[in-house]
Amino acid sequence: MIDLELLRAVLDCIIPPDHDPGATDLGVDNFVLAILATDRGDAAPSIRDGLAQLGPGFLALSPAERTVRLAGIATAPWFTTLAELAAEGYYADPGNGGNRDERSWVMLGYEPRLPGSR
Amino acid sequence: MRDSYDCIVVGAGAAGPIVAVLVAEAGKTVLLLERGAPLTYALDPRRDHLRNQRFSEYGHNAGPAVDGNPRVLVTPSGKERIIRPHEAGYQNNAAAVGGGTAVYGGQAWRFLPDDFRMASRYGVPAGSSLTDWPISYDDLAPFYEQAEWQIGVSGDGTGNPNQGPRSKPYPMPAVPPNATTAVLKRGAEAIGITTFTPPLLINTEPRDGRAACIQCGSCVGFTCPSNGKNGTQNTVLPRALATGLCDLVSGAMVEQVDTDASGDVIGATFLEGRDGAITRRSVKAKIIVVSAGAIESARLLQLSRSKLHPNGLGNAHGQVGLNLQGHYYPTAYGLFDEPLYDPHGPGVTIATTDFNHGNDGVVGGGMLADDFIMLPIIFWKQALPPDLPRWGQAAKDFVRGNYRRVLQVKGPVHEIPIAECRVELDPNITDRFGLPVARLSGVAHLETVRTASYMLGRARQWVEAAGAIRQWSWEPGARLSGGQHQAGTCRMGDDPAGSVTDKWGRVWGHDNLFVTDGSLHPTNGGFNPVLTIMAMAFRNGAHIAAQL
Repeated sequence: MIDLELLRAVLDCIIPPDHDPGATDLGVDNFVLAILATDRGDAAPSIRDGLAQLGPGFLALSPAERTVRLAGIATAPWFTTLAELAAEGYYADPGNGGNRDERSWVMLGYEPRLPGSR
Repeated sequence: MRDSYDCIVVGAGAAGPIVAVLVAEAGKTVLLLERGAPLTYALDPRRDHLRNQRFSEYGHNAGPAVDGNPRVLVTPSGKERIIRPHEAGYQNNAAAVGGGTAVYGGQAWRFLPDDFRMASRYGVPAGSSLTDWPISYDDLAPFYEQAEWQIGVSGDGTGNPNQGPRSKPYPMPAVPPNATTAVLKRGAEAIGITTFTPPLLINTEPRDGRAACIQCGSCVGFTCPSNGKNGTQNTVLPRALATGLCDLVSGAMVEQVDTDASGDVIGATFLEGRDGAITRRSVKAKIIVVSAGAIESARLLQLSRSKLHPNGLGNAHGQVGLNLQGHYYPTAYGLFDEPLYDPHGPGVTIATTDFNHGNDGVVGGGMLADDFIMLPIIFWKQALPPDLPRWGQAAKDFVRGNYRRVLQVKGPVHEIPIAECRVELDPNITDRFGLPVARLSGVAHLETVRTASYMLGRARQWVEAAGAIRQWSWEPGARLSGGQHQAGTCRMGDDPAGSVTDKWGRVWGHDNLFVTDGSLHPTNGGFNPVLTIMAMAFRNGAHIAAQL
């Protein structure tokens, strides 16, 4: 099982909250869990293990300290995969489970103009 | 459905429905078979940014289905990989009524006169299969005009200084400029490039009972919300059906073109999978037209094996499936101080054809243009600078600060064909119907890579001249090419030993078997090929109808 608390903590380092939402604010954790259970089941074991190796001490760190810690493993395949999945959840359409209320699109200035768009 | 038809057309993509309408309006019966399903905005209004024709990370909105339709890719080192339709290397186009035209961006280019005579102009590079077309631009020009007027193109008919002669303007005015246009025009003027608005198969005004483009900004990869994007599915197909002489069967996978005991083509057999059961039907016809795209057409001819045709139809000289090509797409990204983003689609607004020919030291060249509006996730996946961290505050800051300030210049390179890039039947892997799948192998000719690298330099030069404060790009590498612009696998020619069809798409050795789609292209131009595929279908379709 993936440690949810660790997953959320790492996702919020990958896309940190600032004056705009971070990853978990927009449901990226839900997107990642869903995709790891389906299309990217192949990546689930390595992400589970990679998170586990961060250890429970990771959660005791401050956000800045967490980022320093992750910088040390940032080229690990499980982490680069997780970073790509996080971006997919954050920047793709809300129908995929992340990007709640199209909030990332508001942030970067993408304006969908389909009938019925905001 | 009838028991027999005057004509069976296999594939309702860019070409098949054009042949069907010409046959039906000539008063003859035609059966149009399409393996994919109908695809319209009403049927599929969702914009799934991870599963579409433009970005197919986890699936595809235009088919074929992810499961049950594999291909085999042989890597340069000889390793075999089984690939699903949405994965890199599959060379997918689409399986749907309308084919790729239901979801394309719709750039509507005529090839240039010299695109039809590449071998004469440049000579034949060693190891390549470069050749002239058996017809000229002048032969095809009237049919380009039919495609432009009957399918519907907007554009500036006088803007392209390098185009061949044209006798009519485009039926609709060009798309309006956007924020990118002025910036790239400034750059072009600084270095002496001539530019104009690219032609598009998109309504800039209401036409033929359908609305104009509503500038939704997500053209390419998706169906059109206003139905103002013109494909075969909303133009010639309804015309064909209205005659009462054309029957369309979707979800119909053609298993083989049928021959009789003397080896003559007599019809086609197709499979339908419904409720878990597969049904098989054989239908007779006087003429069979294969129009399934460069990979599937070559596959079908090879699947049509028999005692008299042990290597499939039209393959006595082993030519079927050779010369697979597509388009390398060198792309230069530039970051600007000023905002460039404009949400109003389609997004392609400015192009040059100054580098399609006459480039020092390389064979051919290609068109360059700006691009359709980028979805945010595609920006992330394809447009970030290579040295940008992919996580953390820096990544978020870059996307937030620069999504609206990055533009791209890109274009299709006229590839130099090579026989070794090919489509065969895989001896082991089968699809959901039990039919051997396409086995793809080969690597693009070195001259293709060289021209692509040259064109990347030209694109970068343009972006820099426009005032980019930073730019980035990726050098092209050697790989198999095909994809949505796939072509060349049933090339037409004058020599039965060196081609698959004659100059009308008639398969050598068979009076009543034709191919018409990108397969026929001896070379594929330095342009999006769809208007050429359509023009060829108008030309060959009229010829076919006249035989019946």
